[in-house]
Amino acid sequence: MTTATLQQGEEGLARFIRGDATAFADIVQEHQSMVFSIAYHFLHDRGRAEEVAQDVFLRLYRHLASIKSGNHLVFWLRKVTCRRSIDEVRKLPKAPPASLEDVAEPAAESPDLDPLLSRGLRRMVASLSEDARAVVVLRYQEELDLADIAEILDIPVNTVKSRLQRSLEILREKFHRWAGDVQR
Amino acid sequence: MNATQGRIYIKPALILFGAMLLGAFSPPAFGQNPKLDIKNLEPLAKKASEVVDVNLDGALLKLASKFMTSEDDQEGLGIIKNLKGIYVKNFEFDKPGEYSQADVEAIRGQLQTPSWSRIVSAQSKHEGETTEIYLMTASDGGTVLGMAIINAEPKELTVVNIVGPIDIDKLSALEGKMGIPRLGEKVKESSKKPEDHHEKQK
Amino acid sequence: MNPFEEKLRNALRREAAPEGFAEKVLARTRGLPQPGEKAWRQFGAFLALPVLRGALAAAAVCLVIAAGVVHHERQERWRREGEMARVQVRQALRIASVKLNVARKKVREINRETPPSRLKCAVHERPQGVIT
Repeated sequence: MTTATLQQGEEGLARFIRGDATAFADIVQEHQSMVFSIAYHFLHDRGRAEEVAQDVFLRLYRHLASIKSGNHLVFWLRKVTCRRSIDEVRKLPKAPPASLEDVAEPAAESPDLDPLLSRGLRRMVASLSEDARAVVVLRYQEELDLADIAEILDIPVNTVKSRLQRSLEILREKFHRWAGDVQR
Repeated sequence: MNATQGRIYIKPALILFGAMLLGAFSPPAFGQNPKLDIKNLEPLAKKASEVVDVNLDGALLKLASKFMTSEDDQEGLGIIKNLKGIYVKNFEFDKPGEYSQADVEAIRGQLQTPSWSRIVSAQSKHEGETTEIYLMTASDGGTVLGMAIINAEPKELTVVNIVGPIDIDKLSALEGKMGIPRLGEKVKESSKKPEDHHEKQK
Repeated sequence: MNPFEEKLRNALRREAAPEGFAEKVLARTRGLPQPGEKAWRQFGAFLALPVLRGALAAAAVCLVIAAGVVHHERQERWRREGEMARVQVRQALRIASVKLNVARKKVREINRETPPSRLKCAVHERPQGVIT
């Protein structure tokens, strides 16, 4: 996170605590992308992700008095979003693993495979177990190091490491199978 | 006056003040309490074939008076109007000797203080019956503060303690009213049976 | 980061929240107590919620009914106690009157006829034990 963003967060928080109602709107604007994205990459469903994200901000509104700093705010948002997303996944019956056949067949020889690839990868991430998904999203979306991920998920660092390694092996394998199909 | 002298004067003052407070809030002076302690008679209930046990303090008397609305109740209402308590222990036994003189003495002993005056004492050696009536009056000799009746018969023991200004003439005049038999009349079963206490099956 | 991980990072980059997301969140915070508000105000706001109002109204009705039942029971208990006290008063007066009159009669019989009114002064006269 950039220093400017942190500073903005601190200011917004301070304003909010002083009773400035517009400060919360600024806080939402500042962090909505992060919160929504974590939920979306977890759930791979925009509607449900939006609901989860809104819920997280409502909780933030109620707990804002306990937030101590800009850093704490971001930590809190990530933690609660992951937890809510995991709860959301566990609420619904397990969806069958995302079938790679669901991915639309690429246009022949399209020079830009990225959008398709990204979509495919996102589906693959969404097919991981909830615990593994959380580690992957926090690592590659939020670019957090293992210690930060461990703190947010409240698990040992070694567990983060092993889950990440295992997840990458699975994703690589799935990706290569899929990419081979795509290329054919 | 120096500090030591001040302390000397304060202590007696405090003692006097304390004594005054005690006097203000203490119960009536020694022997002036018309309420007797008749709890020692309670174990006799186990041996009695019939028991009447009345414990009515001022609050209960007030409550009772609200329910004494029939014509028959009016004389009784007039008697209890200013009373502070009515306590009765009446035991009827199947055979003589079920209570001891010590039981009676425990009550009688409380009535030996100067504040109680025995106004009637009737003994019948032939019938083995003793009746004593005591009154406690205020120091002016006028106001009655309480009354006690001890009636000891071979197969019956009765202690009545009335706290407050009882009019014994009115009490006596209840004869023939409120189900109270006139002396000499045969006691009817229905008038004798207490409504709410143990029944003796004759 | 290796190429695969770069692909992953690219795929999982942050997405913009849906349009109007912030407005929807703010709309839902309206009616909620301001964080930091005193607990009683928060409680007041909580009570203002329509669903809660309905539940509270129902609870109030139940309370009134329960209070009515309790009141009725209390009245009944009071009535029973009063009747019992009345019975006890009559009983006590009966016994006291009988014993008093028996004693007086005995005294009269033995000490010649004495009008009952004189017994008022008996405190001073103190007729003593009469033995037959």
